[in-house]
Amino acid sequence: MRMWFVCRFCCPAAQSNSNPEWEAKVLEYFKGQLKEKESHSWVPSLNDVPLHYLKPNSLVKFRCLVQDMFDPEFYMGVYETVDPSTKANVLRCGKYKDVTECGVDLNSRNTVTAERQTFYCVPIPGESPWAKEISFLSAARVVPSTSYVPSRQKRIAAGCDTTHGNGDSKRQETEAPSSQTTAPSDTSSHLDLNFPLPGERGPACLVKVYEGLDSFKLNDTLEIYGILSVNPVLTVLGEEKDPSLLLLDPTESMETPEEQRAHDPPASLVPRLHMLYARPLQHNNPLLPSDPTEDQSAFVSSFLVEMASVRAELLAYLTHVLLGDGLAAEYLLLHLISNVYTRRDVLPLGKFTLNLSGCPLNSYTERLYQIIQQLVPCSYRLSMSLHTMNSMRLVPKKDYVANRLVSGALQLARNTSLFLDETQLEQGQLDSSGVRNITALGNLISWQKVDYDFSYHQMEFPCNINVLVTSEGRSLLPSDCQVPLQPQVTPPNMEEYLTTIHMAQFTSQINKFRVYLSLARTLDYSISDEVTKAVEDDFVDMRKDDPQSVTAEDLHRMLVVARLLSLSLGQTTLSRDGWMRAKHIDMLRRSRTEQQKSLNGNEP
Amino acid sequence: MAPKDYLAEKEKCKKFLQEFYSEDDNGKKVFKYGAQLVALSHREQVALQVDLDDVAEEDPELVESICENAKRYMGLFADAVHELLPEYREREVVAKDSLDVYIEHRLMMEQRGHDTADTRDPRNQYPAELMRRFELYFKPPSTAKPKVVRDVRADSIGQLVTVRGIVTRATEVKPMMAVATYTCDQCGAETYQPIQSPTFMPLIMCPSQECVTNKSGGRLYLQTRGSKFVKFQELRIQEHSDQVPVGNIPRSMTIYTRGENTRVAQPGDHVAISGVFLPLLRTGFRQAVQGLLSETYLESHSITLMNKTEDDELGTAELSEEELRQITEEDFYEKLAGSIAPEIFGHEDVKKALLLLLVGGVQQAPKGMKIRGNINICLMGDPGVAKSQLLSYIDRLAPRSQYTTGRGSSGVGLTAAVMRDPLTGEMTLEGGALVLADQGVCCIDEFDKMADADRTAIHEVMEQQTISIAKAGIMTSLNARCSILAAANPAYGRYNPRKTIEQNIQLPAALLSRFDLLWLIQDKPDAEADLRLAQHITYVHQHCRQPPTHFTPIDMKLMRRYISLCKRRQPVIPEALADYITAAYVEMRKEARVSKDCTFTSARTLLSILRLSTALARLRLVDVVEKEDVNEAMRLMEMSKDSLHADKSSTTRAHRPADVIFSLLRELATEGVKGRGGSGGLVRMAEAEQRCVSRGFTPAQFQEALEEYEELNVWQVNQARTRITFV
Repeated sequence: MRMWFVCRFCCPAAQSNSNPEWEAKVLEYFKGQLKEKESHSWVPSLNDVPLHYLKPNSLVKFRCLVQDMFDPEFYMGVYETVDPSTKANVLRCGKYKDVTECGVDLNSRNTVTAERQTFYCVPIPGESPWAKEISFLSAARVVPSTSYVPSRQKRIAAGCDTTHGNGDSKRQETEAPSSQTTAPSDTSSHLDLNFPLPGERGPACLVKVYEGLDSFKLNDTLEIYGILSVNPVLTVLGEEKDPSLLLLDPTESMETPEEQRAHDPPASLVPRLHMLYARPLQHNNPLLPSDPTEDQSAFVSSFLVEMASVRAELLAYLTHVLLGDGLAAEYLLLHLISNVYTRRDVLPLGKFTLNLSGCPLNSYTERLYQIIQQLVPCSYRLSMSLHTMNSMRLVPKKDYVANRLVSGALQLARNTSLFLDETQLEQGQLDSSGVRNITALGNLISWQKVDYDFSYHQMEFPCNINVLVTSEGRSLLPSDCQVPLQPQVTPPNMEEYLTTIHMAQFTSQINKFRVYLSLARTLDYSISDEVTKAVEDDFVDMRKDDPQSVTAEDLHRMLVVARLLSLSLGQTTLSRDGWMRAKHIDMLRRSRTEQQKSLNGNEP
Repeated sequence: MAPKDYLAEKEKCKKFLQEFYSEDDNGKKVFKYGAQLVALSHREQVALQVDLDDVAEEDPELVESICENAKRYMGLFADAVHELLPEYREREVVAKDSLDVYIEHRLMMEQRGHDTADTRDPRNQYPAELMRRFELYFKPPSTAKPKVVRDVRADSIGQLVTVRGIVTRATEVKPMMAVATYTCDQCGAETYQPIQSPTFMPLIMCPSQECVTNKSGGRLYLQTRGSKFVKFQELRIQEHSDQVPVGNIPRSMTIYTRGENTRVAQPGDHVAISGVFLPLLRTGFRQAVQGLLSETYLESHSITLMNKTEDDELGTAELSEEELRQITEEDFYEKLAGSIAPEIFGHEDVKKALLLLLVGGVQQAPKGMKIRGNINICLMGDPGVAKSQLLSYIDRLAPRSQYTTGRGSSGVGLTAAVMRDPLTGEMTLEGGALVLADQGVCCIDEFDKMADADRTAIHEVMEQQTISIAKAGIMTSLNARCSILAAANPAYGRYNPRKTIEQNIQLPAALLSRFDLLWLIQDKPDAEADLRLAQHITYVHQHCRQPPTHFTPIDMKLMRRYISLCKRRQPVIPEALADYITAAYVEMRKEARVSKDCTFTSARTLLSILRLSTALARLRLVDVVEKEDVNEAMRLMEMSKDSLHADKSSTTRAHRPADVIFSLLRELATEGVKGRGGSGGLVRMAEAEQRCVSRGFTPAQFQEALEEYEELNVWQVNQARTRITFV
């Protein structure tokens, strides 16, 4: 395990400062090492191993979301220290470090100032428990270097099947004694770790980035390999915030106390990570190879054969879950594999927001969410009760006092499933923040963007979030397509019914579904000219028959449906059949909405 | 490289200050800095701004060195000024404050000291910083481009840079010690300590000759009156949103302002700040633990306030030849119009109208009467015909604009509100959307959903272009010279071409007539258009990008600059055209009387034509309106009218006078029911006739209709022919 003692490796290099390529060489070395098969699984992960089991200055990895980007900072890349006893000058390297050695010679001519940037990273918000478990188990298997015997592993192994079923495992986990996941410190109470979603846990991390600053964006999901730094001196710095001291010496720091708290939290709570190498994650499904290499393409081609059969099984499963409604299940499946594949100006293409209306009340939606959570790697259920809409912060906001971006629930990683439960909404007054929240949700659905609040102006951040709205009637939020649920069965005990369905699935089966959903999303897709022509003619004919009910939006939607249908079957081109099928199910859906309208009579 | 001879450099600075002059109109030499030096020496001016453009005229090399090493040259220039000042003093200066008196006394003491040939300890010499009562700033050369905050990197340290951004935080202005003065309790000697860093270690032991030799251990005490303080303020600026790459967080920067530069900017201001980018030196414990990091700040030299990001950009960069050529090639009018919301398909005429709205007509103010130049447009249409997209595109394109929806804004939100400041208890005016959009565009979506009371507030804005306020003891009139772009949905979901506009969008005629153009955007089936639409959409889905069009839309920034260029023109209507326009107007009035349709043709229409034609002339960058412009303006008017009753051609039945009279009478009858509480279906003959005549029907027509419908047994007329009763 040579790789862990990086600092020993780079300090001698600093002394031979004449060779400036050493930095590139270090990076190359690590990248090379990490490319080797399995090698990245040796590296302990901050997500899985509690901080106090990790050695400082060792190489760790961290699967995370870039929550905030701080201003760049200037540090001494190379500096000189004077030994007080011998008066000898020694050149030292400041890269990948937080604290200098003693006796810095400030007037040295050899000092080199360099620039780095700090990212505030949090674990991927809404990561499903199963995704955490699987990556945890696979990591624990191969980390011999830490003395850490995961007690959690046992608990999970034992409680795997029971917690699985009721789907409550996430909450249980968050409420479980937190001593394993965060440092046993009371300071966490007053320190806001700024997670996008309430009730999240896990280590937040200040990642110091040295190279390729421009390639990283806010809300990127990354797997970061870097050197862990938990120098207690940093904590001392953090504690040196006696307000009276600051009052005496206001010019001591350019930062306000709030700002310092946000930017220099104690290292025991928010460790520093000096990034060596970061890999952008296309998905965080641990069942899929994450590297887009030949490794993955082999995996894909092997799975493609199975695709149709897995789809049929998944469809049957979802049909059961949706109380025997085959059409709704079909649409739910399409929704789960939807993905914004490109943007044209402001219009995102490929988004497919589904509105399941007519959902039975009393906790059906909650159970539905738990089942979806079992299938997708990232999800969040937002219960749209009046209280949450009025009080929750959905849109991230810049806090100029602390100079940081205060996160909101809509700061999510790509392809997160956002489950909006409108059945929870009751009559009452929305206050101004509630209206803002609803507007933000509407914008998210229509444009797949969130306008972050920078107080003097708004900034648009594009996102890629699958939104599923469940409601009684038609949702008050816009949606790409509304499917009224038509239950074929009315089980006397809903809880029991859903639990039995869920229990009937083997874990291996569920895993297959998980792989299927993540994989279908990544497939390429194209439309041939010939089919395009047919689609165009078809559209013109449809307009001729009934110009009022077929609009440009309908064509957009049907093309998306056709795309998703083809992909769900593992077909990467649109065939005539695919188009007809898409048209057919859209027709079915529309007739159902019409029916609903005439039933209710009061739909606009 | 040999170290620079800074003494020689100082001589250069001196020479420049003394000798720089420019020639005024009469060919007389004007010594720009000489005059300022005189003012400085008389304490009538505090800040001396050295314009590096002037320096560049004399010595371009010097400018380069100043930009590279600004802090040092600031010192050199200050020394030079300090040495020059006595030469420029023309009369005795009256002491302005205690420090002036203090300095005078010290200088006198020094002279006396010289008499006794007593050489002072060099450390006890008066530091130059104490004696100087002026501030010296550089103004960066105009060739230097303002930088984006994120481009100011480690290599800019020590350089003179200009950054732009928005102020997010400003501390209070505090005094900051520049020179600390101490007196010794034993010997009474004074000691001075110039302070550069934010913190300093006070001196304790007296360093004077007397104390040192006597080992009396004199203690030093700080003297506030003898110390020099400067005003100090810390600002924090953040990048503009348009300077941030997609998906990044805006970066910020700390600015230190001193002296005359304080209290210039407030949070929320857009500023351009030039200054020296410097690292902050730490001392003591913090330096040890945080030694690896150094904080940086910008020591400001000049702060310029800007009203909005684009304004400055537009002003500075003239359109290049090539860009102009790109725009003003053939069919540029179509091209410019097509570049508005290129993602929205079709609607060429609407886009042309919106283009004219952006350019605006010429405002006329003969003898205090103001005739607005801004063009107001109302878009109506069925739900889902991209009205809102057009609005939001205009909102993005216009350099200054506000976007509101009718449902979300009350009259107060649109106009202005009087607020009580929570801190001072003073009444303050807070501008609403219309005020904030002054000299820009105010886009109001869902115009029809607005409450009537709120809509009346807009009447004044639309014609007088001001907002009068009489609230809570504040009576004032605010400018709201904005164009209004409104979008409205028809009252009953879909536009019913058989009804008038008022009925369709339930807006009062007074308001509707204030719109220069009313467009109805309808979704009508048309096989050819459908096919093009289908091709467009499928292409997007197939290739994941915009289909190639016969033209590439003009870049938004270029559009903005071109429009601002157009706005500078003030075209006039030549005498010769006046007759033509008058004739056309009379013709329109005549037509309107005959056809009696849903739109109005009034004097406002004439003004609209004038506005549109001047806007068209502006668009062509000419100073005289041509006949073509007027024709195009009238064509647009015509098209907008056509759009309102385009379906008439399909409804074959033209309105016969009798039918119209019938509907008028029925209206009257229902009104009667409401007004008089249920004398249902009864209309008095005189009243009916009066109503019909006022609508332009002859009494003969009225009688005809009366008889015709009586025969049909729709109504009955009583014997005396005074009453009509509906059956």
